[in-house]
Amino acid sequence: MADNRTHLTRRTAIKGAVALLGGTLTTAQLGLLGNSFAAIAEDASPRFLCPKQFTMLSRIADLIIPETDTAGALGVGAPHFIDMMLADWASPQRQAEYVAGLDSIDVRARDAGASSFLASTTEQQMVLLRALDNEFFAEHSTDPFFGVLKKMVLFAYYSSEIGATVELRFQRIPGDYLPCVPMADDSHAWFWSQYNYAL
Amino acid sequence: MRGFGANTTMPSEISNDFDAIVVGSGISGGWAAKELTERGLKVLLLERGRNVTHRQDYVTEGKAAWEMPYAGQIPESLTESDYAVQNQCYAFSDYTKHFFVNDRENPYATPDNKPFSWIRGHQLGGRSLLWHRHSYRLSALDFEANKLDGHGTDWPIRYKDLAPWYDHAENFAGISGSHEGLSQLPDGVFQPPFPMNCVEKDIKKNIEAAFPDRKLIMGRVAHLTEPTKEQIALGRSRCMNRDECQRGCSFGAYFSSLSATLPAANRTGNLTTVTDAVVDSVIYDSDSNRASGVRVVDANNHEHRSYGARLVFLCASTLGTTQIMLNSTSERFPNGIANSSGTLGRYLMDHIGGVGASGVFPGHQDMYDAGRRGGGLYLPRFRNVMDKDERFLRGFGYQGGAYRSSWSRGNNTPGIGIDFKAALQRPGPWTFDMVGFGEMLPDERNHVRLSKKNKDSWGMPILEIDCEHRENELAMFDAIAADAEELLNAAGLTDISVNQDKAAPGLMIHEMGTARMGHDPKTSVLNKFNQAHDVPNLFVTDGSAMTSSACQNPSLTYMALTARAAAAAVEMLQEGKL
Repeated sequence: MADNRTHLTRRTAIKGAVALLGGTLTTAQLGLLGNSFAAIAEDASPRFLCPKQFTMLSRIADLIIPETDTAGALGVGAPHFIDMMLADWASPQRQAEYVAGLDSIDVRARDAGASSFLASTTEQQMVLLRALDNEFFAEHSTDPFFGVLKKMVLFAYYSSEIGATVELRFQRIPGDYLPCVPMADDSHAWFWSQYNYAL
Repeated sequence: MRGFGANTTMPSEISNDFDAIVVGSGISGGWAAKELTERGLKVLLLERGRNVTHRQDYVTEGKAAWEMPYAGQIPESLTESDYAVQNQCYAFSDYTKHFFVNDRENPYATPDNKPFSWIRGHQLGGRSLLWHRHSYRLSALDFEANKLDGHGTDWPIRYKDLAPWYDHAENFAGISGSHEGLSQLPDGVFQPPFPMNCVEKDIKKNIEAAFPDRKLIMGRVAHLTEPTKEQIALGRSRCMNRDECQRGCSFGAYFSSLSATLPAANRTGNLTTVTDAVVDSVIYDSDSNRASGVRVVDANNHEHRSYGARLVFLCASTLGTTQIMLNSTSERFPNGIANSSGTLGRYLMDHIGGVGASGVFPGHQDMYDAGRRGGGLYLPRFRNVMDKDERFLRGFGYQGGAYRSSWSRGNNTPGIGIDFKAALQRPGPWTFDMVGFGEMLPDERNHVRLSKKNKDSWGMPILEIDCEHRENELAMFDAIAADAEELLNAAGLTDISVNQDKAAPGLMIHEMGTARMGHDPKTSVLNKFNQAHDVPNLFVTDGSAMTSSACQNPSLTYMALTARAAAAAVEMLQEGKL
């Protein structure tokens, strides 16, 4: 099953959806033409973050959702997506929160003895991010930024085509509701589009 | 036919070619158009919003997150500037925002300490495109409630008066659900219910074993599961379990004006639809004591014009209709048409909601579901049914359901890296949640009025809405929370958390009651046929007609009341009484 998902291309997804509809809808009506992720070239310069902060964001996203037997955050273009969100979607307050937040992570890395976050070893970076994550979930957390950033990385990853259809499973038109299906050991969770989802 | 009142100032020519004008194209207006045209009347349907063509204009239908500009998010500054109220609605998102009003362009006022969330959809089909589709009958208990405890005025009808019209509405709209034999939630004409998943079946068994007076049932929802010939002929087909209803459904699987009533009205050849027509007021002719038509402001160029007809049906949504009526002043009706009682704009109700509970179900870890079922479960009212509760009057029900969480639980779970990613690839534990829907008492103090200072860009005085939860509602909120916790404990859930966040009035989007039905012209606006006591050819059949709110989702009742009123109006017209 995982293999089939891996080979599910955009084209077969479109073909399948239109066939299921018995040809009553055109591809354009289903809105399969745009792609906010694919629209950003992988080597494009960041539009909102400065190059150093963009590299930090990329490194952090990679550590939160690494590449395994499936693509990770980098493989789906999450850093460019997040930079686009900061440029075009985020409010001025949100933009400022990211700039200050990434800076504060760099300060924490220096406090730990490194010359910068990016100059730290992978192990040091993981230790720091795990500490920030634990602090976010601690009872009297004062700095919400790592939680905000992690939420954004998860959103970017699982809302991408690979995240939704390869890492998870997605049915554009399920057809039936099957109430009780036995799970296999490798049954992936379903993806569905979140409504009114507060980032 | 008949002249216009002395205060008529409309410059443009008036068409009198119509037998009836229906104002508003949402659930009530669509039904009025269908029932009146099918009885042979030439009907003009006026909609203040833009045209929406079924299928063609469902521009986000079928789109996945990665096919949306911001993966389904709305730019934050735009939400803040233009959708501060609409954004409070669960169904509001970048996938659906084109079916919600722009708050900046559609102002209303509330006192600082009394928020009211007015969720609106100005387009052909209105909020029938956006509704949650739960469809329940009111019961004998509900129609007698006001008389029994003295709050509000007595309904001028009883359950038996409306029962055949519920049949009619369910037959045409297509309601899926189960027969349960409950006195407080009468059965109807149902298509097969959606199935419950394994966890829901266990929870149902556990709750019903612990509480013989309580039932957990599949929600009765306006989704086709076994379409009739008539529904198929209208281009409708069965539900595909996408749960993306509010984007519009090209399968026509859920009931909306666009999928069902307007196609039915159009095929009679008797319907004329005009969109972008903001009705400013009803024209009153004092010589004949009749409504002779309506004044309209063009939504785009703001030009004024009028239309005439022998009958006027107001179906512009509870507050929309009330605003039009309050703005329809004349020598006879200085405080709004058909308002000799002074009750127009008063007794505003919504349901109370937001409060509920959730928990984790420990079993069935080897089972999952597939497909996105568009409707959840319902736990019908059990308080003040057989026994009298000393804490509060009336009752409440719950909506809920069981599901396995997906990736977004990662937001609330410590962890990063390989193991974290691997865990999120699997579904999370089974979670069950339920939220209460409670009856709000009719109270004269909860009211709307026209602003004396501020007008909107179409020249309408804006509404000032003054509504709050009072003693009975606050006591009921407490009971909803306590009962939810007790129910989930009995259901065998762990990690139960109670949500005490009360939704602001309006946010349940069941606002109603501001032009209530009643026996007495001195204390109500409408009679038992939704006909204005004061103006015989004026009918009001949307939520404003409701004499009490019950606790059931009200749209099905609006359908039944509208169909019943239309039949009565045509009969009166044919008998020369109008």
